Amino acid sequence: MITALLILHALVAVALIGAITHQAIGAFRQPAPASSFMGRFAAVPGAGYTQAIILLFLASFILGDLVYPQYRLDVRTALEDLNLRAANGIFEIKEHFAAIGVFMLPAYWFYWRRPLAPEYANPRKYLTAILCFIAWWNFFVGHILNNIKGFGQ
Amino acid sequence: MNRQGSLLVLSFVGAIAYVLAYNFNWPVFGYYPLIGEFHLHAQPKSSGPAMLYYGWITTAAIAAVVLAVIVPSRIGAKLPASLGWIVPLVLILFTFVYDRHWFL
Repeated sequence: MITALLILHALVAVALIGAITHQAIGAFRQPAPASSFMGRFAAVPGAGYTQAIILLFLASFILGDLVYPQYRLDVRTALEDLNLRAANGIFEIKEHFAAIGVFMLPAYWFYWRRPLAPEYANPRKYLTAILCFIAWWNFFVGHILNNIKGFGQ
Repeated sequence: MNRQGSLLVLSFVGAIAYVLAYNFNWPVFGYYPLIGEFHLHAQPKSSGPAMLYYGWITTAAIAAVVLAVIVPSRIGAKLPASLGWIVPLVLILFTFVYDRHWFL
C-alpha cells in the first residue's frame, strides 16, 4: 500500500511539474508569435492551469504526508545510520518548502484570478516561479532519496 | 461580502508562522509513527521518533485562519503586491540558511 501511495505521489508530482513549468515560463513570455518549440511551449493561457496546479499541489502534499511516517521510520533511520547528513538535509528542506508552498496557494489563486489584474503581473510571475522551483526541488529530492533507499527494500 | 483580500493574509501569515513554528519548535502536537499516536507532550524514547511536521503545520494553520478572520479583507487587498513574491522568497532563502548545518 505504501509503495502504491509513493508511486502515486511521484506521478502527481510529474503532472504538477508539467503544469506549473508551462505556466511559469508562459508568465515570463513577452507576447509574440510562437514560432519555436520553446515559444509554443510558453504560449499557453496560464490562468487556465491555476486550479489544476492548486489541486495537484494539494494532492502531492497530502500524499507526501501520508507516506511521511513510513519514511521517518525506515528511510530516515537508515540515512542516519549511514551518516548521510546531506540526504537528510535536502529532505528537511523539501518538507519546509512543501509547507511554505501550500500556504502560498491562496495568494497564488488570488493573483491568477480572471480577469488577470495588471497590477499583479509581477507577483503572478515570481510567485509562480517560486512554486515551480519548489515543485522541481521536491521532485528531485524525493527521487534522490528513493534511489538511496526506496520503500520495500 | 468579498473576502478575497483575506486570502493574502491567510497565505502570508501561514507561511511566516510555519517558518517560525519550525524555527522555534512550536508544534501543537507530535506524532509518533512507531506507536501511531498523537501526543501534546514529548513521549519517552520507547515511543520511537517524534514527527513534529504535522504539529508545525497545524500551528501555522491556526495562526493563519485566526488572523485571516480578524484582519478585514480590505486591508489584505491593500497589502503591497510585491509581498506576494518577496515573502516566499525570503522564507525559502531563510530555510536554506537554517538547514545549512546538514551540509557542513
